[in-house]
Amino acid sequence: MVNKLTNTVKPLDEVDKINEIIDALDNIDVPIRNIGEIVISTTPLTDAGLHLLDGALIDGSGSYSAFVTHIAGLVSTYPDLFTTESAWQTAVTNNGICDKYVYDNINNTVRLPKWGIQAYTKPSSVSISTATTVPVIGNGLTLGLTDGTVNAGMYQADYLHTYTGAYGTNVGSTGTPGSIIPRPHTIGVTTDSTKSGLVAQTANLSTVSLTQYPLNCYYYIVLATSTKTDIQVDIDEIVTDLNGKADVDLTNLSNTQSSNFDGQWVYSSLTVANSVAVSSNNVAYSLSSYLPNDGYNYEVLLSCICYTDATSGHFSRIALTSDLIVNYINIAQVRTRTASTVDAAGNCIIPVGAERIITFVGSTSASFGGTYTIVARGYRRIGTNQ
Amino acid sequence: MTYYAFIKDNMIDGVGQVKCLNPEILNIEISEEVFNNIDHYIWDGEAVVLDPDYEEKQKQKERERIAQLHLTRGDVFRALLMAKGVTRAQLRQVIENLPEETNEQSITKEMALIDFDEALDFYRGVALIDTVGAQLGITPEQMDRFFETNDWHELVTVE
Repeated sequence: MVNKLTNTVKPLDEVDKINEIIDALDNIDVPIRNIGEIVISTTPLTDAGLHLLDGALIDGSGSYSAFVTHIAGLVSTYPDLFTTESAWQTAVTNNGICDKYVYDNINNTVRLPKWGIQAYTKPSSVSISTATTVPVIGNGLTLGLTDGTVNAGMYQADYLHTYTGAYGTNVGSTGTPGSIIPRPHTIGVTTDSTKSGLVAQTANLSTVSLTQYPLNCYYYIVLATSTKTDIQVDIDEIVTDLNGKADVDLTNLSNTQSSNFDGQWVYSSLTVANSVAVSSNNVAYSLSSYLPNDGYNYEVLLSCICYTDATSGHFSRIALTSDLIVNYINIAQVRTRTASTVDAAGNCIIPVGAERIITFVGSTSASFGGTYTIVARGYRRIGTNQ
Repeated sequence: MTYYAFIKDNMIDGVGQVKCLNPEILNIEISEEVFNNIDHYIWDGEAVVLDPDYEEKQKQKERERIAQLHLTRGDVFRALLMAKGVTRAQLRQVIENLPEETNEQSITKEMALIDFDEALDFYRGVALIDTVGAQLGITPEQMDRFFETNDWHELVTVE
Protein backbone atom coordinates (compact mmCIF):
# COMPACT_ATOMS: atom_id res chain seq x y z
CA MET A 1 0.00 0.00 0.00
CA VAL A 2 1.29 3.44 -0.83
CA ASN A 3 1.70 5.83 2.10
CA LYS A 4 -0.84 8.63 2.29
CA LEU A 5 -0.03 12.33 2.46
CA THR A 6 -0.07 13.37 6.13
CA ASN A 7 1.24 16.93 6.21
CA THR A 8 -1.35 19.66 6.55
CA VAL A 9 0.66 22.55 5.20
CA LYS A 10 -0.69 22.00 1.71
CA PRO A 11 -4.26 23.21 1.05
CA LEU A 12 -6.78 20.62 2.19
CA ASP A 13 -8.31 20.12 -1.27
CA GLU A 14 -4.91 19.24 -2.76
CA VAL A 15 -4.25 16.77 0.05
CA ASP A 16 -7.63 15.13 -0.59
CA LYS A 17 -6.94 14.80 -4.31
CA ILE A 18 -3.62 13.10 -3.78
CA ASN A 19 -5.09 10.71 -1.24
CA GLU A 20 -7.92 9.80 -3.66
CA ILE A 21 -5.33 8.78 -6.24
CA ILE A 22 -3.55 6.72 -3.62
CA ASP A 23 -6.82 4.93 -2.70
CA ALA A 24 -7.37 4.07 -6.39
CA LEU A 25 -3.89 2.63 -6.70
CA ASP A 26 -4.33 0.53 -3.60
CA ASN A 27 -7.24 -1.27 -5.28
CA ILE A 28 -5.00 -2.50 -8.08
CA ASP A 29 -4.35 -6.21 -7.67
CA VAL A 30 -0.69 -6.97 -7.26
CA PRO A 31 0.91 -10.38 -6.93
CA ILE A 32 1.98 -11.42 -3.44
CA ARG A 33 5.24 -13.27 -3.00
CA ASN A 34 7.36 -14.21 -0.04
CA ILE A 35 10.76 -12.73 0.64
CA GLY A 36 13.49 -15.05 -0.62
CA GLU A 37 11.38 -16.79 -3.24
CA ILE A 38 12.88 -17.30 -6.66
CA VAL A 39 11.20 -15.96 -9.74
CA ILE A 40 12.34 -17.35 -13.04
CA SER A 41 11.62 -15.47 -16.21
CA THR A 42 12.57 -15.84 -19.84
CA THR A 43 12.75 -12.08 -20.19
CA PRO A 44 14.15 -9.41 -17.87
CA LEU A 45 11.70 -8.18 -15.22
CA THR A 46 11.48 -4.62 -13.86
CA ASP A 47 9.38 -5.26 -10.79
CA ALA A 48 10.72 -3.10 -7.95
CA GLY A 49 10.36 -6.01 -5.52
CA LEU A 50 12.63 -8.33 -7.51
CA HIS A 51 16.40 -8.40 -7.84
CA LEU A 52 18.54 -10.46 -10.20
CA LEU A 53 20.48 -13.16 -8.38
CA ASP A 54 23.73 -11.55 -9.40
CA GLY A 55 25.56 -11.43 -6.08
CA ALA A 56 24.73 -7.76 -5.48
CA LEU A 57 25.17 -6.17 -2.05
CA ILE A 58 21.86 -5.11 -0.47
CA ASP A 59 22.07 -2.28 2.10
CA GLY A 60 19.90 -2.60 5.18
CA SER A 61 19.45 1.18 5.36
CA GLY A 62 17.92 1.42 1.92
CA SER A 63 14.57 0.58 0.38
CA TYR A 64 14.93 -3.15 1.10
CA SER A 65 15.56 -2.92 4.81
CA ALA A 66 12.79 -5.48 5.45
CA PHE A 67 14.57 -8.00 3.23
CA VAL A 68 17.90 -7.48 5.02
CA THR A 69 16.19 -7.82 8.39
CA HIS A 70 14.51 -11.05 7.22
CA ILE A 71 17.79 -12.57 5.98
CA ALA A 72 19.65 -11.50 9.13
CA GLY A 73 17.07 -13.37 11.16
CA LEU A 74 17.99 -16.61 9.39
CA VAL A 75 21.70 -16.58 10.22
CA SER A 76 21.46 -18.43 13.52
CA THR A 77 18.74 -20.90 12.52
CA TYR A 78 19.86 -21.70 8.96
CA PRO A 79 23.64 -21.27 9.01
CA ASP A 80 24.06 -23.49 5.92
CA LEU A 81 22.51 -20.72 3.83
CA PHE A 82 25.44 -18.46 4.60
CA THR A 83 29.14 -18.23 4.01
CA THR A 84 31.88 -15.67 4.49
CA GLU A 85 32.66 -12.91 2.02
CA SER A 86 36.05 -14.38 1.17
CA ALA A 87 34.60 -17.85 0.63
CA TRP A 88 31.86 -16.38 -1.52
CA GLN A 89 34.35 -14.54 -3.69
CA THR A 90 36.50 -17.65 -4.03
CA ALA A 91 33.51 -19.75 -5.14
CA VAL A 92 32.55 -17.22 -7.78
CA THR A 93 36.12 -16.94 -9.01
CA ASN A 94 36.53 -20.71 -9.31
CA ASN A 95 33.05 -21.75 -10.39
CA GLY A 96 31.34 -18.60 -11.58
CA ILE A 97 28.49 -19.08 -9.12
CA CYS A 98 27.82 -19.23 -5.40
CA ASP A 99 24.52 -20.38 -3.92
CA LYS A 100 24.99 -18.82 -0.47
CA TYR A 101 24.31 -15.52 1.20
CA VAL A 102 26.82 -13.36 3.02
CA TYR A 103 25.45 -11.30 5.95
CA ASP A 104 27.57 -8.44 7.35
CA ASN A 105 26.20 -7.63 10.78
CA ILE A 106 28.48 -4.60 11.20
CA ASN A 107 27.34 -2.78 8.07
CA ASN A 108 23.92 -4.53 7.98
CA THR A 109 24.27 -5.68 4.39
CA VAL A 110 23.36 -8.89 2.58
CA ARG A 111 25.22 -10.24 -0.46
CA LEU A 112 22.93 -12.23 -2.69
CA PRO A 113 23.78 -15.63 -4.13
CA LYS A 114 25.09 -15.54 -7.67
CA TRP A 115 23.27 -17.94 -9.95
CA GLY A 116 23.98 -16.56 -13.36
CA ILE A 117 21.41 -16.38 -16.10
CA GLN A 118 21.57 -19.81 -17.71
CA ALA A 119 20.12 -23.20 -16.93
CA TYR A 120 20.54 -26.42 -18.91
CA THR A 121 18.11 -28.92 -20.34
CA LYS A 122 18.05 -32.56 -19.35
CA PRO A 123 20.47 -34.61 -21.44
CA SER A 124 18.88 -35.02 -24.82
CA SER A 125 20.95 -38.03 -25.89
CA VAL A 126 23.43 -40.55 -24.56
CA SER A 127 26.03 -42.01 -26.86
CA ILE A 128 28.32 -44.88 -26.12
CA SER A 129 31.53 -45.62 -27.95
CA THR A 130 33.89 -48.56 -27.54
CA ALA A 131 37.62 -48.70 -27.61
CA THR A 132 39.53 -51.69 -29.05
CA THR A 133 42.69 -51.38 -27.20
CA VAL A 134 43.85 -49.98 -24.01
CA PRO A 135 47.48 -49.49 -23.43
CA VAL A 136 49.15 -51.87 -21.03
CA ILE A 137 50.58 -49.83 -18.31
CA GLY A 138 51.80 -52.32 -15.79
CA ASN A 139 54.68 -54.76 -15.56
CA GLY A 140 53.72 -56.56 -12.48
CA LEU A 141 55.99 -54.72 -9.99
CA THR A 142 53.05 -54.53 -7.66
CA LEU A 143 52.94 -58.29 -7.67
CA GLY A 144 56.16 -58.23 -5.76
CA LEU A 145 58.48 -58.83 -8.61
CA THR A 146 61.75 -56.99 -9.10
CA ASP A 147 62.61 -54.59 -11.85
CA GLY A 148 61.98 -56.08 -15.28
CA THR A 149 65.58 -56.02 -16.28
CA VAL A 150 66.33 -59.02 -14.16
CA ASN A 151 65.18 -62.49 -14.79
CA ALA A 152 63.93 -64.00 -11.63
CA GLY A 153 62.82 -67.39 -10.74
CA MET A 154 59.95 -68.60 -8.69
CA TYR A 155 60.00 -71.87 -6.98
CA GLN A 156 57.03 -73.98 -6.29
CA ALA A 157 57.68 -76.47 -3.48
CA ASP A 158 55.75 -79.67 -2.92
CA TYR A 159 55.04 -78.54 0.50
CA LEU A 160 55.61 -75.37 2.40
CA HIS A 161 58.71 -75.27 4.50
CA THR A 162 59.30 -72.89 7.28
CA TYR A 163 62.57 -71.22 7.00
CA THR A 164 64.42 -68.80 9.13
CA GLY A 165 66.66 -66.09 8.06
CA ALA A 166 65.95 -63.36 5.62
CA TYR A 167 63.12 -65.07 3.90
CA GLY A 168 59.83 -63.30 4.43
CA THR A 169 56.22 -63.66 3.34
CA ASN A 170 55.59 -60.10 2.25
CA VAL A 171 54.99 -59.48 -1.40
CA GLY A 172 58.21 -58.74 -3.09
CA SER A 173 60.40 -60.13 -0.42
CA THR A 174 63.30 -62.30 -1.53
CA GLY A 175 65.62 -64.40 0.42
CA THR A 176 67.65 -67.54 0.63
CA PRO A 177 66.13 -70.54 2.27
CA GLY A 178 68.01 -71.95 5.12
CA SER A 179 68.03 -75.33 3.51
CA ILE A 180 67.51 -76.98 0.21
CA ILE A 181 63.90 -76.97 -0.93
CA PRO A 182 63.03 -80.52 -1.73
CA ARG A 183 61.92 -81.27 -5.25
CA PRO A 184 61.16 -77.66 -6.29
CA HIS A 185 59.57 -76.74 -9.59
CA THR A 186 60.89 -73.59 -11.18
CA ILE A 187 58.80 -70.97 -12.91
CA GLY A 188 60.69 -68.46 -14.97
CA VAL A 189 59.30 -64.91 -15.14
CA THR A 190 60.62 -62.15 -17.26
CA THR A 191 59.19 -58.65 -16.78
CA ASP A 192 59.10 -55.80 -19.20
CA SER A 193 61.35 -52.94 -18.00
CA THR A 194 59.51 -50.34 -20.16
CA LYS A 195 56.31 -50.62 -18.22
CA SER A 196 55.25 -49.98 -14.64
CA GLY A 197 52.13 -49.94 -12.55
CA LEU A 198 49.12 -52.19 -12.89
CA VAL A 199 48.41 -54.41 -15.88
CA ALA A 200 44.95 -53.64 -17.19
CA GLN A 201 42.54 -55.68 -19.09
CA THR A 202 42.79 -54.68 -22.70
CA ALA A 203 39.49 -55.54 -24.26
CA ASN A 204 35.86 -54.33 -24.35
CA LEU A 205 36.11 -51.05 -22.59
CA SER A 206 33.27 -48.44 -23.21
CA THR A 207 33.01 -44.59 -22.95
CA VAL A 208 29.88 -42.51 -22.32
CA SER A 209 29.15 -38.91 -23.42
CA LEU A 210 26.17 -36.65 -22.58
CA THR A 211 24.74 -33.85 -24.73
CA GLN A 212 22.88 -30.90 -23.10
CA TYR A 213 21.54 -27.63 -24.56
CA PRO A 214 21.62 -24.29 -22.67
CA LEU A 215 18.42 -22.32 -21.82
CA ASN A 216 18.56 -18.56 -21.29
CA CYS A 217 16.48 -17.64 -18.25
CA TYR A 218 16.68 -15.02 -15.52
CA TYR A 219 16.75 -15.90 -11.83
CA TYR A 220 15.34 -13.25 -9.53
CA ILE A 221 14.98 -13.16 -5.80
CA VAL A 222 11.99 -11.49 -4.13
CA LEU A 223 13.20 -8.62 -1.92
CA ALA A 224 9.76 -7.31 -1.03
CA THR A 225 6.67 -9.19 0.09
CA SER A 226 4.58 -7.50 -2.56
CA THR A 227 5.46 -5.75 -5.73
CA LYS A 228 4.36 -2.27 -6.66
CA THR A 229 3.72 -0.80 -10.00
CA ASP A 230 6.03 1.93 -11.16
CA ILE A 231 3.29 4.47 -10.55
CA GLN A 232 2.82 3.29 -6.98
CA VAL A 233 6.56 3.53 -6.37
CA ASP A 234 6.61 7.04 -7.81
CA ILE A 235 3.64 8.12 -5.69
CA ASP A 236 5.20 6.55 -2.63
CA GLU A 237 8.41 8.46 -3.18
CA ILE A 238 6.56 11.69 -3.86
CA VAL A 239 4.45 11.34 -0.72
CA THR A 240 7.51 10.57 1.39
CA ASP A 241 9.24 13.59 -0.08
CA LEU A 242 6.24 15.86 0.48
CA ASN A 243 5.70 14.72 4.05
CA GLY A 244 9.31 15.38 4.84
CA LYS A 245 9.34 18.71 3.05
CA ALA A 246 6.32 20.01 4.90
CA ASP A 247 7.98 19.53 8.26
CA VAL A 248 11.32 21.16 7.60
CA ASP A 249 11.21 23.09 4.36
CA LEU A 250 8.84 25.93 3.44
CA THR A 251 10.60 26.97 0.27
CA ASN A 252 8.20 24.94 -1.87
CA LEU A 253 5.17 26.98 -0.81
CA SER A 254 3.21 28.71 -3.51
CA ASN A 255 2.99 32.51 -3.59
CA THR A 256 -0.53 32.36 -2.17
CA GLN A 257 0.55 30.16 0.71
CA SER A 258 3.72 32.11 1.48
CA SER A 259 1.72 35.32 1.75
CA ASN A 260 0.19 33.92 4.94
CA PHE A 261 3.54 34.12 6.75
CA ASP A 262 5.18 37.23 8.19
CA GLY A 263 8.57 38.10 6.78
CA GLN A 264 11.87 38.39 8.58
CA TRP A 265 12.98 41.72 10.01
CA VAL A 266 15.16 43.87 7.77
CA TYR A 267 17.31 46.14 9.89
CA SER A 268 17.78 49.32 7.89
CA SER A 269 18.18 52.77 9.44
CA LEU A 270 16.68 55.87 7.87
CA THR A 271 15.90 59.35 9.20
CA VAL A 272 12.26 60.18 8.56
CA ALA A 273 12.41 63.68 10.11
CA ASN A 274 15.09 65.43 12.16
CA SER A 275 14.59 68.61 14.22
CA VAL A 276 11.28 69.43 12.60
CA ALA A 277 9.16 71.93 14.49
CA VAL A 278 5.98 70.56 15.98
CA SER A 279 2.94 71.96 14.23
CA SER A 280 -0.72 72.51 14.63
CA ASN A 281 -1.50 70.40 11.58
CA ASN A 282 -0.59 66.81 10.76
CA VAL A 283 2.53 66.22 8.70
CA ALA A 284 2.73 63.15 6.43
CA TYR A 285 5.90 61.40 5.34
CA SER A 286 6.33 58.90 2.52
CA LEU A 287 8.19 55.64 3.20
CA SER A 288 7.96 54.48 -0.42
CA SER A 289 11.72 54.86 -0.83
CA TYR A 290 12.32 52.82 2.32
CA LEU A 291 9.90 49.91 2.03
CA PRO A 292 9.69 47.38 -0.84
CA ASN A 293 7.20 48.24 -3.53
CA ASP A 294 5.37 44.90 -3.49
CA GLY A 295 1.92 45.82 -2.29
CA TYR A 296 2.32 44.09 1.08
CA ASN A 297 1.65 45.74 4.40
CA TYR A 298 4.70 46.21 6.62
CA GLU A 299 5.54 46.72 10.26
CA VAL A 300 8.05 49.54 10.76
CA LEU A 301 10.15 49.99 13.90
CA LEU A 302 10.42 53.71 14.78
CA SER A 303 12.59 55.49 17.34
CA CYS A 304 11.28 58.96 18.29
CA ILE A 305 12.33 61.91 20.42
CA CYS A 306 10.61 65.24 21.02
CA TYR A 307 11.94 68.50 22.53
CA THR A 308 10.08 71.35 24.08
CA ASP A 309 10.98 74.93 23.41
CA ALA A 310 12.42 77.05 26.23
CA THR A 311 9.12 78.44 27.39
CA SER A 312 7.96 77.32 30.76
CA GLY A 313 4.72 75.45 30.55
CA HIS A 314 5.13 74.44 26.95
CA PHE A 315 4.92 70.83 25.92
CA SER A 316 6.04 68.71 23.03
CA ARG A 317 4.73 65.37 21.83
CA ILE A 318 5.08 62.67 19.20
CA ALA A 319 1.89 60.94 18.18
CA LEU A 320 1.78 59.01 14.92
CA THR A 321 -0.67 57.42 12.59
CA SER A 322 -0.35 55.65 9.24
CA ASP A 323 -2.34 54.76 6.16
CA LEU A 324 -3.53 51.64 8.03
CA ILE A 325 -4.28 52.99 11.50
CA VAL A 326 -7.68 54.59 11.97
CA ASN A 327 -6.68 56.70 14.99
CA TYR A 328 -3.23 57.58 16.29
CA ILE A 329 -0.75 56.19 18.81
CA ASN A 330 1.12 58.25 21.41
CA ILE A 331 4.84 57.69 21.47
CA ALA A 332 6.22 60.33 23.85
CA GLN A 333 5.20 63.64 25.48
CA VAL A 334 7.01 66.09 27.71
CA ARG A 335 6.38 69.52 29.29
CA THR A 336 8.91 71.98 30.60
CA ARG A 337 8.36 73.85 33.84
CA THR A 338 11.30 76.15 33.41
CA ALA A 339 12.64 78.37 30.73
CA SER A 340 14.69 75.47 29.47
CA THR A 341 14.11 72.79 26.89
CA VAL A 342 13.43 69.23 27.95
CA ASP A 343 12.98 66.12 25.85
CA ALA A 344 11.29 62.75 25.86
CA ALA A 345 11.95 59.62 23.80
CA GLY A 346 9.87 56.61 22.80
CA ASN A 347 9.52 53.94 20.14
CA CYS A 348 6.87 51.91 18.40
CA ILE A 349 6.20 49.30 15.73
CA ILE A 350 3.65 50.79 13.43
CA PRO A 351 1.82 49.01 10.58
CA VAL A 352 2.14 50.74 7.22
CA GLY A 353 -0.01 49.98 4.20
CA ALA A 354 0.44 50.06 0.47
CA GLU A 355 0.48 53.87 0.38
CA ARG A 356 3.59 53.79 2.60
CA ILE A 357 2.59 56.85 4.70
CA ILE A 358 3.22 57.69 8.34
CA THR A 359 1.88 60.94 9.78
CA PHE A 360 3.00 63.15 12.65
CA VAL A 361 -0.11 64.23 14.53
CA GLY A 362 -0.14 67.95 15.32
CA SER A 363 -1.78 69.90 18.11
CA THR A 364 -3.57 73.25 18.02
CA SER A 365 -2.69 73.95 21.65
CA ALA A 366 -0.99 77.28 22.19
CA SER A 367 1.41 75.52 24.54
CA PHE A 368 2.53 73.10 21.90
CA GLY A 369 6.10 73.99 21.02
CA GLY A 370 9.38 72.34 20.22
CA THR A 371 10.78 69.90 17.69
CA TYR A 372 10.72 66.18 16.97
CA THR A 373 12.87 63.56 15.35
CA ILE A 374 11.72 60.22 13.90
CA VAL A 375 14.12 57.51 12.78
CA ALA A 376 13.14 54.18 11.19
CA ARG A 377 15.26 51.28 12.39
CA GLY A 378 13.78 48.31 10.57
CA TYR A 379 10.79 46.72 8.92
CA ARG A 380 9.23 43.38 8.10
CA ARG A 381 6.43 42.24 5.85
CA ILE A 382 3.04 41.36 7.29
CA GLY A 383 1.90 38.16 5.68
CA THR A 384 -1.67 37.90 6.82
CA ASN A 385 -3.05 40.77 4.79
CA GLN A 386 -2.05 41.95 1.41
CA MET B 1 20.75 57.60 -0.30
CA THR B 2 18.66 60.74 -0.74
CA TYR B 3 18.53 63.63 1.72
CA TYR B 4 15.99 66.42 1.95
CA ALA B 5 15.70 69.77 3.67
CA PHE B 6 12.08 70.63 4.56
CA ILE B 7 11.30 74.23 3.72
CA LYS B 8 8.31 75.72 5.55
CA ASP B 9 7.37 79.39 5.71
CA ASN B 10 10.53 80.19 3.76
CA MET B 11 12.72 78.62 6.41
CA ILE B 12 14.45 75.33 6.88
CA ASP B 13 12.21 73.27 9.13
CA GLY B 14 14.19 70.10 9.70
CA VAL B 15 15.65 67.46 7.40
CA GLY B 16 14.91 63.85 6.53
CA GLN B 17 15.64 60.99 4.17
CA VAL B 18 12.06 60.70 3.02
CA LYS B 19 9.77 63.20 1.37
CA CYS B 20 7.24 65.17 3.35
CA LEU B 21 3.86 64.95 1.66
CA ASN B 22 2.32 68.17 3.02
CA PRO B 23 1.80 70.66 0.18
CA GLU B 24 2.97 73.61 2.28
CA ILE B 25 6.37 72.00 2.77
CA LEU B 26 9.00 72.03 0.08
CA ASN B 27 11.35 69.03 -0.20
CA ILE B 28 14.77 70.28 -1.32
CA GLU B 29 17.34 67.63 -2.11
CA ILE B 30 20.63 68.20 -0.26
CA SER B 31 23.93 66.42 0.20
CA GLU B 32 24.81 64.20 3.10
CA GLU B 33 27.24 66.85 4.40
CA VAL B 34 24.52 69.49 4.46
CA PHE B 35 22.12 66.99 5.99
CA ASN B 36 24.52 66.34 8.88
CA ASN B 37 25.24 70.07 9.45
CA ILE B 38 21.92 71.66 8.57
CA ASP B 39 22.20 74.25 11.36
CA HIS B 40 25.06 75.83 9.38
CA TYR B 41 22.67 76.53 6.49
CA ILE B 42 19.70 78.71 5.67
CA TRP B 43 17.15 78.96 2.92
CA ASP B 44 17.70 82.08 0.81
CA GLY B 45 14.46 81.76 -1.08
CA GLU B 46 15.91 79.65 -3.86
CA ALA B 47 18.47 77.31 -2.41
CA VAL B 48 20.00 76.00 0.76
CA VAL B 49 23.14 78.05 1.42
CA LEU B 50 25.66 78.54 4.19
CA ASP B 51 24.47 80.91 6.90
CA PRO B 52 26.84 83.92 7.08
CA ASP B 53 25.62 84.70 10.57
CA TYR B 54 26.08 81.20 11.86
CA GLU B 55 28.88 82.04 14.28
CA GLU B 56 27.02 85.00 15.76
CA LYS B 57 23.88 82.94 16.08
CA GLN B 58 25.78 80.27 17.89
CA LYS B 59 27.18 82.81 20.30
CA GLN B 60 23.73 84.20 20.90
CA LYS B 61 22.45 80.73 21.56
CA GLU B 62 25.23 80.24 24.02
CA ARG B 63 24.42 83.43 25.75
CA GLU B 64 20.82 82.47 25.99
CA ARG B 65 21.78 79.12 27.34
CA ILE B 66 24.00 80.58 30.00
CA ALA B 67 21.38 83.11 30.93
CA GLN B 68 19.07 80.25 31.78
CA LEU B 69 21.55 78.69 34.18
CA HIS B 70 20.35 79.03 37.74
CA LEU B 71 21.34 78.19 41.31
CA THR B 72 19.51 78.34 44.59
CA ARG B 73 19.82 81.29 46.96
CA GLY B 74 21.79 79.11 49.33
CA ASP B 75 24.24 78.02 46.62
CA VAL B 76 25.03 81.61 45.74
CA PHE B 77 25.30 82.95 49.32
CA ARG B 78 27.53 80.09 50.42
CA ALA B 79 29.77 80.47 47.39
CA LEU B 80 30.20 84.24 47.88
CA LEU B 81 30.90 83.73 51.57
CA MET B 82 33.58 81.13 50.79
CA ALA B 83 35.12 82.94 47.84
CA LYS B 84 34.89 86.56 49.01
CA GLY B 85 34.07 86.35 52.68
CA VAL B 86 30.97 88.43 52.32
CA THR B 87 27.77 87.80 54.27
CA ARG B 88 24.19 88.20 53.12
CA ALA B 89 23.93 91.47 55.09
CA GLN B 90 27.05 92.76 53.39
CA LEU B 91 25.69 91.74 49.98
CA ARG B 92 22.41 93.55 50.63
CA GLN B 93 24.38 96.55 51.70
CA VAL B 94 26.17 96.42 48.38
CA ILE B 95 22.82 96.68 46.65
CA GLU B 96 21.66 99.42 49.01
CA ASN B 97 24.72 101.41 48.03
CA LEU B 98 23.76 101.40 44.34
CA PRO B 99 23.15 104.91 42.98
CA GLU B 100 19.59 106.06 42.38
CA GLU B 101 20.19 109.48 41.00
CA THR B 102 18.15 108.80 37.89
CA ASN B 103 14.82 107.11 37.52
CA GLU B 104 16.46 104.27 35.67
CA GLN B 105 18.98 103.79 38.41
CA SER B 106 16.20 103.81 40.99
CA ILE B 107 14.32 101.10 39.10
CA THR B 108 17.42 99.05 38.64
CA LYS B 109 18.20 99.29 42.37
CA GLU B 110 14.64 98.34 43.34
CA MET B 111 14.60 95.38 40.92
CA ALA B 112 17.86 94.19 42.39
CA LEU B 113 16.46 94.37 45.91
CA ILE B 114 13.34 92.45 44.82
CA ASP B 115 15.45 89.72 43.23
CA PHE B 116 17.73 89.56 46.27
CA ASP B 117 14.85 89.35 48.70
CA GLU B 118 12.20 87.36 46.75
CA ALA B 119 13.80 85.15 44.12
CA LEU B 120 13.81 81.43 44.93
CA ASP B 121 16.61 80.81 42.46
CA PHE B 122 19.14 83.16 41.04
CA TYR B 123 19.34 83.05 37.24
CA ARG B 124 22.63 83.91 35.59
CA GLY B 125 20.91 86.14 33.11
CA VAL B 126 19.50 88.43 35.81
CA ALA B 127 21.28 91.79 35.93
CA LEU B 128 21.73 91.57 39.70
CA ILE B 129 24.32 88.84 39.32
CA ASP B 130 26.59 90.87 37.11
CA THR B 131 26.07 93.91 39.37
CA VAL B 132 27.15 92.04 42.50
CA GLY B 133 29.93 90.37 40.63
CA ALA B 134 31.32 93.64 39.44
CA GLN B 135 31.28 95.03 42.98
CA LEU B 136 33.16 91.99 44.27
CA GLY B 137 35.72 91.85 41.49
CA ILE B 138 34.25 88.75 39.85
CA THR B 139 34.48 88.69 36.04
CA PRO B 140 31.50 87.64 33.88
CA GLU B 141 33.42 84.62 32.71
CA GLN B 142 34.07 83.54 36.31
CA MET B 143 30.40 83.97 37.09
CA ASP B 144 29.48 81.85 34.01
CA ARG B 145 31.70 79.04 35.14
CA PHE B 146 30.35 79.26 38.68
CA PHE B 147 26.75 78.95 37.44
CA GLU B 148 27.80 76.02 35.21
CA THR B 149 29.57 74.13 37.99
CA ASN B 150 28.26 75.50 41.32
CA ASP B 151 31.90 75.50 42.45
CA TRP B 152 32.76 78.54 44.57
CA HIS B 153 36.43 78.19 43.63
CA GLU B 154 35.53 79.62 40.25
CA LEU B 155 34.81 82.91 42.05
CA VAL B 156 38.23 83.18 43.64
CA THR B 157 40.38 85.81 42.01
CA VAL B 158 43.53 84.32 40.56
CA GLU B 159 46.58 86.52 41.22
